[in-house]
Amino acid sequence: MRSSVARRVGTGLAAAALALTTIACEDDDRYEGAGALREQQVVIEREVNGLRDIAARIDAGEPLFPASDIVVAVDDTFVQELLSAELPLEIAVESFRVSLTGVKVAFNGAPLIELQGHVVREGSVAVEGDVRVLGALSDLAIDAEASVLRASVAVDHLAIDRVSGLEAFVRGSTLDEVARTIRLQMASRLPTLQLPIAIQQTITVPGLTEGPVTISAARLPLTASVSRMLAGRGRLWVALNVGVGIVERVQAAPVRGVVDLSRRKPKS
Amino acid sequence: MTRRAWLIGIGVLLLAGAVAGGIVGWSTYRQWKERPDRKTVAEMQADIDALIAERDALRARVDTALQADARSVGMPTQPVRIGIPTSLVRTLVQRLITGVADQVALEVRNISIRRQGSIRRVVHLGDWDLKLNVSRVRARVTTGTPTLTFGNNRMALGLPVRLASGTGEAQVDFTWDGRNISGMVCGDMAVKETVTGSVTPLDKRLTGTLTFSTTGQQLIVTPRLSPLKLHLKVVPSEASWATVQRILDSRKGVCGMVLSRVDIRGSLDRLLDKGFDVTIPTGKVRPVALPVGVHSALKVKGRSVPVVARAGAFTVTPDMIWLGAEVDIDTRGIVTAR
Repeated sequence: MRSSVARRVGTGLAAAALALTTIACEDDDRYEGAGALREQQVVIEREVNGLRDIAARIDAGEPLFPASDIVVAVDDTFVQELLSAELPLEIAVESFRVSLTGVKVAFNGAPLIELQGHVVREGSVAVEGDVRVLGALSDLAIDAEASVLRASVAVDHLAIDRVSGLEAFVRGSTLDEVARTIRLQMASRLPTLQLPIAIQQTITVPGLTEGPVTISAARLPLTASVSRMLAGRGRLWVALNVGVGIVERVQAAPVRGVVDLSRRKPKS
Repeated sequence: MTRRAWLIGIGVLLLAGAVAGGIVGWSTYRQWKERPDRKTVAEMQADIDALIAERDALRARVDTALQADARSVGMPTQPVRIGIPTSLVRTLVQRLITGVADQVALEVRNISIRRQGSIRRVVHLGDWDLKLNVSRVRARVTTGTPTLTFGNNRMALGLPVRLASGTGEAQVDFTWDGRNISGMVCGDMAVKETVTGSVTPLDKRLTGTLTFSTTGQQLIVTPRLSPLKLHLKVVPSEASWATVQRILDSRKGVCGMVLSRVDIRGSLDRLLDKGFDVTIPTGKVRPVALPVGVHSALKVKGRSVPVVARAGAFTVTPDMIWLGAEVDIDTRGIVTAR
């Protein structure tokens, strides 16, 4: 009798669970493939946001770059070479090891960067898959110490594809959560990119100490900063504002102008 | 209560708990599923299609604007390009010239002039020989506002130059070779004296060009200035004249009369008043590097690697100075370390 009651209770619970599961899954197919679309959307949104900013300036009648700013234009292929030099890059996030081996760069509206590689989870539950990191160059600034332009890579999205190992048991939502965890911790570990654009904070004028004309060596202090950045036509365009200071003497000029009257030659 | 009743009670409670949990779970799931920002694949695809349409339209506008930007005229095709507005270069050059101008000094040494003559009054009284050696002229040079005109990969420069607040020092070497009666009463005479004076201010215009060149990594401005020809005049000070005059005045009588005919002061005055032509060599003014270029080294994987830049196109337009460069980074050391 006791087992009969237990069976009835168990059957009831199972039926309730099945009913809920069935109802819950009734319209899952409407969201199937959303992850891939989300990835696409992230990329296009960043591009569109960048383009909207530029278009707003055009609509306002502003120049693309301030008239007195230095303009640097760098091809996306060149930046791709620079980033490739940083690869392969190994990043450990908790129990996952991400190995980035390839990069694609495209500058059309936004300075987009896609890093490709593998992710491996070692241990009792092994997981391995391809990984794609979608992001863009950001925080472009002048590295005052090295006198070069530098930028970091902002990570917008991380996708894990073609998972092997426990593939059959790992659902999309689980992978998304893993991807999110890796993305959040990876951002700060990506290397800072240096662009080989030298920006001096002074102009030095060599002195002239021989000959009839002498000029003291001098320096003109400058304050340079990144004023604007845009990506378009396959190039990264950087506007650099340069504030011009006042000339400073580097060394004292030779003493000039006083005639020593005491040094008269004796009369003959 | 019987054991059976206990079991039924527990079963009912478990069932009620399961139902309650299911209801809460279901409610939560519906809330998540129906949250405003959650979109179906079809909705997301529609959003993406709209974004793509907007992106393509914006790209076309931005591309057109970039092409139409006057400053992109003459932009090189190399992967790395640096454009410096001519307005900025003008500001830099003006600021440098005006800033450096008050530190320019001119010094001219050893300008020698000689005049000779004879004095005759019925008979040949004697010969005089006046040598003037301007041992040193020092002056400060100031400049006005430069005019700069861009074109043909160079910049034409016009610069007002003023020679001001200078001093001069000269050695007067006068000899008198008395003849006949003058020789008897006066004999020969030599006067060697140092006179000092001030430089007459002078205004000139320095012209030349600033040519632009590149080493691949730097933009270099090289001044090519025309030689500056100055006509210097030194006006002796009253103290100097007084010294010379005292020597002459010490000769009295016939001798004094003879020497007054020579008019040493007048001769000196005329010599100094003619002035001296001095050409200032300007070829030694050194090139200056502009503050932006291609860096010679980069950090890759935490290591400094050399950057090799090969200069490409280089153009100067009325708006911009463009430098294009092919840039390679030498990562061989990094590759070995992998």
